[in-house]
Parts: sequence; structure tokens; C-alpha cells
Amino acid sequence: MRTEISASPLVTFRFGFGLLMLLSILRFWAYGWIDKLYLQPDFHFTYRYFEWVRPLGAWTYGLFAVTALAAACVMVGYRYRLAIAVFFLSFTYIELMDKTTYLNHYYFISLLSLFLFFLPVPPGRGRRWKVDRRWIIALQLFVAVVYFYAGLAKLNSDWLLHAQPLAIWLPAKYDIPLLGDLLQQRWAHYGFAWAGALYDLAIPFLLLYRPTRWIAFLLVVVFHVLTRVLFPIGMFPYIMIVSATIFFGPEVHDRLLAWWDRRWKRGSPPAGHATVYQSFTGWRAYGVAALLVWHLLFPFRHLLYEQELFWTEEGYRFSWRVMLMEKAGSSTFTVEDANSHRRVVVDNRRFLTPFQEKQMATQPDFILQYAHHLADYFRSRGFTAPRVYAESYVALNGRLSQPYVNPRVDLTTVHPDDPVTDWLLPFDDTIYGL
Amino acid sequence: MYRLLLLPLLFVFACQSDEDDPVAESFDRQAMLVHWADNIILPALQDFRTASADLQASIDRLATSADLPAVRADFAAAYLSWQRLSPFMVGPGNELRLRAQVNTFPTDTERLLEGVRTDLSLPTNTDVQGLPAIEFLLYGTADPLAHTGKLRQLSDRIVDLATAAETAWTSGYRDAYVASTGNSATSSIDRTVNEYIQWYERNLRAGKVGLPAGVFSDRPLPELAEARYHGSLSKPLFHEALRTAESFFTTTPGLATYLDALEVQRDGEALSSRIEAGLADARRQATDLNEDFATQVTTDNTALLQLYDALQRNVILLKVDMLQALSINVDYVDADGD
Repeated sequence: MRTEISASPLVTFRFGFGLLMLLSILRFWAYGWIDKLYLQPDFHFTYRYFEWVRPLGAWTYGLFAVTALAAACVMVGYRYRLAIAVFFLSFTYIELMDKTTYLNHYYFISLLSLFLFFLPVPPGRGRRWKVDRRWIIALQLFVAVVYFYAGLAKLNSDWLLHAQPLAIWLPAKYDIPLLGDLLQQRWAHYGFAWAGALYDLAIPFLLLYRPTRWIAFLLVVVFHVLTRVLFPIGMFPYIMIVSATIFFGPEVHDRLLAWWDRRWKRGSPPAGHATVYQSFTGWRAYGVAALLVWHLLFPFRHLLYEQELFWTEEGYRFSWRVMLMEKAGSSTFTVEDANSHRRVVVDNRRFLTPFQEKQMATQPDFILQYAHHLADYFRSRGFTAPRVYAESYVALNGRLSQPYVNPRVDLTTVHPDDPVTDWLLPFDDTIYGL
Repeated sequence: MYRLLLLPLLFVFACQSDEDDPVAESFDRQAMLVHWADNIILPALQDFRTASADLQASIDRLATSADLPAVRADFAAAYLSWQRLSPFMVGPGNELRLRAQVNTFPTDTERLLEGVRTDLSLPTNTDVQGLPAIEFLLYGTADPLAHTGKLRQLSDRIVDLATAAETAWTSGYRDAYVASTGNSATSSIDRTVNEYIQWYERNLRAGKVGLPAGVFSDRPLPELAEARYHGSLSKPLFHEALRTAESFFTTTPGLATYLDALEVQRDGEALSSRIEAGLADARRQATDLNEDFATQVTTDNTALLQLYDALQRNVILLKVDMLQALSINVDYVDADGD
């Protein structure tokens, strides 16, 4: 196996990634989501250990501008190392501001940008660069894991045996031309579920295996375009399509970049310059290895918890579990003062946006954080010893709604690190699978 | 190997060749919207406009005829008619703030009596107008005839609003409403169902029952009951509202048939039957109550609290289970998912 290859796959990847990130930020800005999601809410659901990460008021726009600028620099390869570092930090800061907006693909972008910081990605056009092949393999592995793990997560009884939650989501797409009627069919739900699981599990191998590579890439495009049509998933399909290009050999990327040079009438590289070679060693290699270990192991942390993952969601985020759950809920909080007879039933809309309320109602860590926030608020309103109780119901993947939080537990007595079984009621069904 | 690869692709093509296959019988959502618009919402709007015009006419005659019983009868009829319209504040109803201006209670009686307000459309004047304000003048004052001018102003306002809403519905909105058959933020089904559930939760469950029963406070609050000055109207109003909730759910084609078409079963029972049973249970809980809820909370509040619980059980079924089954978001939020 030849270890020294052209760095062109990394150059195309860097360009595509930078471009899509720039577009994502501009799109987010143009839709008014900075204001709606980060400035309008009075309260933010923070991540454990990152409670200090908050929106910066009007400066939040500046933060997005910095992120966009960094993405543009990554795209053209100007001051690449600094640019990707700034991008990673600013983008991750944005994502940590409020977990209401958590999406797997935002986590993918954060992790990938840190990964790209360690990779020897050439600045600019990078003509003279050669790299150890293993850097490219590491990046391929990084992308492959996302697909494969998403596939593993689909191997559960709800997805395979009941076609849930697709059986709920697909019929609602009755308005889509051509597909609308088909999406009403039960067998179609199963078809989509099984094909989706098969796709996620097989696609990394089909992309890695040279003879099937082009057809696999075509499948990637078809699959992601189809998901784009069916679900509101923003930029994610495009990001995955661009990511899949890393599986093509350097010769394909060389040709692509040569075409690009001709298109813009760039001359050949100046003769007589020595090539730069990046071996798979040093701090970069340690960084890449450490991230890959994290990437491979962290999604399995749910094995440390015993309860049903879909119910408690302990270990659900950051593990490539996409489109697996349709969870709906409703929570009503009552605040009582132990030292007086004051008692208030909380109107959630006074404290949360509709989006936050929706996310809060089905996720235990949100419920707990909100309950503590309510206690603080009513303490400031003269409740000397506030107690917070929640009456809540959650319906999961088409099951009848059932009580969620134990209504007799005063949530102010629960610490975020306490076992969730202390205050959450058990799930009265079993979901088999990974 | 390649054949396996092509499976999902074939799948997509298979879908396309299926388009003219008549077997795919999906629920006709447009027919449901047409039914809602033409047989439920618009008639309710016309009925309320007529009823409030009748009230306006008898109030106009009051100065000469002094026929207070006629005014009171028309008032009760208009208030009952309002209950049949209140859940359907989509489109013009929402834009005109119809519900807020027609039925905000309790009325700020001091401010109401203070003098003549020139602009009733101001949000600050929401609680000194509408049917509750008229009710106070007719039943809560020593001499209703002394307030003829004010009654006229208030009833004119209601008729203006109802007429404006009806005009907006018939001149354009109705067609846009039935044409918007999609499944998105602004589509008619999503908006109508959200409005219906919100009304059920806030106005029927909390407004008519929960608030006076003291569910949201530390004691019963009879002064928050609907139609508290009348003395025997709050229960009929509640029943009319609950009947509207039931008939909107069970009407064909409607939510129950929609759920059944999707074969929505929960624990071996159709979700539609569960909801219908829940609504019937609430109706039973309400049969033996006092005609006046303000009286009921002071004599036997437990009965009202039980009614509240029955109504609450259905909030969960409607808001959590039904919305999930129909893939309708609570107050749809326009953001990405994954």
C-alpha cells in the first residue's frame, strides 16, 4: 500500500465543509433564528458542566459573524489552522448555549471541526502537499462511524417490527407529489424502515470498497435527497453528501481540482518547489487517535444505565440516534411554599418559548433544570421554601401516553446527578435492541 | 451484490409507478376542511352574528320599550351561540381577537362604570367589553335601564366584530382555508386543531372550571366563574361548549374519522373511542352540578374539581396522543430536526 499520497481529498473536503458551514450560518441568520432561539427566550437550557455558556445578548450576532468568517477562511484555506480552531470554538459555543436546539448533525459538525484541526489539511490550493494515507483513512473512518452507528441504533423492535416512528411521520406527508399516497401504506413504512437501516449499515462499506464506490455515492445522494424531501432536516443532507466525497481516491480529487484550476485559469504549480509531506506522527496523530477513540466509545455510554434509553434518554444524545423517536409530552408544574399556603400552577409559556416547552416536556434533564429554575424564580417572589411538583405525560412512538415524572417527588430535592429512577416513573413496555 | 444495492433505488422508482394506482385510499383531508368550513365554522359564525344582531336590536328598543326580559333572553341566546363558535378562532377570528373581545371575564366592573370609552379595540379595554360586560350591566347593576347607552355601545361592538369576521370568511378566507391541505406551520388542519385544543385546555378546562374551582390558586375563586352575575347560566354555557367540543371531534369527516382512517389504536382500543369516552365522562360529571358554578364552588367544590380532572384526562389524550398520531405539532415551531 502506498502511504504517501496527494492531499487533494483533504483540500476538496476543506472547501466543501467550509462552504456548507458558511451557508448554514447565513441561512440560520437569514431565518431570524439567532433572535428567535437565542435572544428571545428569557431562560436557556444549559448543558451539564457547561452552565457558563450563555448567549451574549446583541453580541451573539458577532459570535455568528465570527463563525461565518472562520468558515469562509476554512473554505478558501486562508490561515487554515487558526480558522478551523476559531470555527470549532465559536460553533461549539453556539451549540452549548441552549440544548433545546440540539441536533446530532450539530454535534457532528463540532466534532468534525475539532478533528479537522488535528488533520494536516493544506492551506489554499495545497498543490505541493503530500500526506500519509492514514490521515485520509482516519477521516473516512470518522464519517463511516456516523452511518454505521446510526444503523446499529435502528436495530430495535420499534423500528424494525413496528416501523415506528416512521408509521407516524410518513402518513403526515400526504401532500408530497407522487409519494403522498404511497406513504399511507403500511408496507411502505416497513419498506422505508428496513431500507433505512440497511442503508446506514451498508453504506460505509460500499463507499470504502472501490468497485461499489460510485454506485454507493449515487445512493448517498438519492438517500439524502429523499430524506430532505420527507423531513425538515435543514443542511444535514448536504453535509453528509459532501462528507461522502472523502471516500474517493486522490486521483478523483486531483482531476476535480485540475478541472477547477482550468475553470479559473490557474497556472500549473511553480516548478522547483519541494513538496511538503505530513507523516502520521506527532501531536496531530495523538489528537486524531484520541478523537477516534472518543467517537467510537462515547455513543455506547448508555450501557452504563439500566433503564429504557428512549424513556430516560440517558446517553441518547451524542450517539447518532437519528429519527428513532416520536415523543410527545405535556408537563404541568405546581409550586408550593412549604412555609405558607401559597400554591401556583405554572403557565409554562411565561417562562419558555413554545419550542423550549416542547423539548422540555419529554426530556428528564430539561424538566429537572426547569423545575429548579421555577424554584429560584418563586423564591425571588417571596416563596421562602418552594417545592416543585410536575404532573406530566409522555407518549412514545405511538404508545398510549403514560405518566412520566413521579408527581409526588419534590423536584427541588433532586440533584442533576441523582439517578433518574428516583423521580421518573418506569416505562411500562420493553423495546428490544441495541 | 449490486442488485442489493439497487434495492432502495428500486424502491423509489416503485413509488413513482404507483401514483395512478387507485388502491392507495388515503383519507381525504380536503373534504374534511370543506366540511369544517361550510358545515361547522361558517354556520357558527353566521349564527352568532344573527344572535348578536338580535341582542343589539332588543337593546336598541330598550330606551323606548323598557323590555328588559327580552334583552336578557336575547343575551342568553347570544352567549350560548358564542359557545358554539369559540373553539374556531382560526384566520379572521384570530386576527380580529374575536374571543378576547367577546368573552374576556371577569369584567373590570369599576372601569366599566367609570365612563364612556371611545376605542374598544384597544387591548387595555379588553376586560370592559363583550358578553361578560353586558352580563354585568344586565344582572349585576341595580338599574340596567340606566346603562342603555353603554349596552348599546357594547352590543354594537360585538355585532361589528362578528360581521367583520363573517365577511372575511366569506370573501376569500374560506377558499384559502380549504385549499391549504398541507402538513406544515400554517396549514389549515394544523391551525384548526391547535386552536381547538388550546380552546379546550384554556377556555373550557381552565377558564370555565379550573379557575373558579381554585385549581390554579390555593382556594376556590367564585368571582372568576363565567356568567357569575346571571345566577343560572354558567352550567348551560359549559354544556354548550362541551357539546361543541364533542361534535367537532365526532363529526364526519372529522378528527375521529381521521384517526380511524389511520387505524390509530392505543392499548387495543381505538384512540377515537378513548377520546369520545373521555368527553362523555366529562359530560356525566357535569350533569348534577348547580346551574351556577359560582354557587357550586362555595357549596361543593369537589364536584367541580372532579369535572376538572375528567376534562384534564382528555387534554392529555388530545394534546399528546392525538397530535402525535396525526403528526401535528403543538404550536408548530419552524426549526430543523434530525
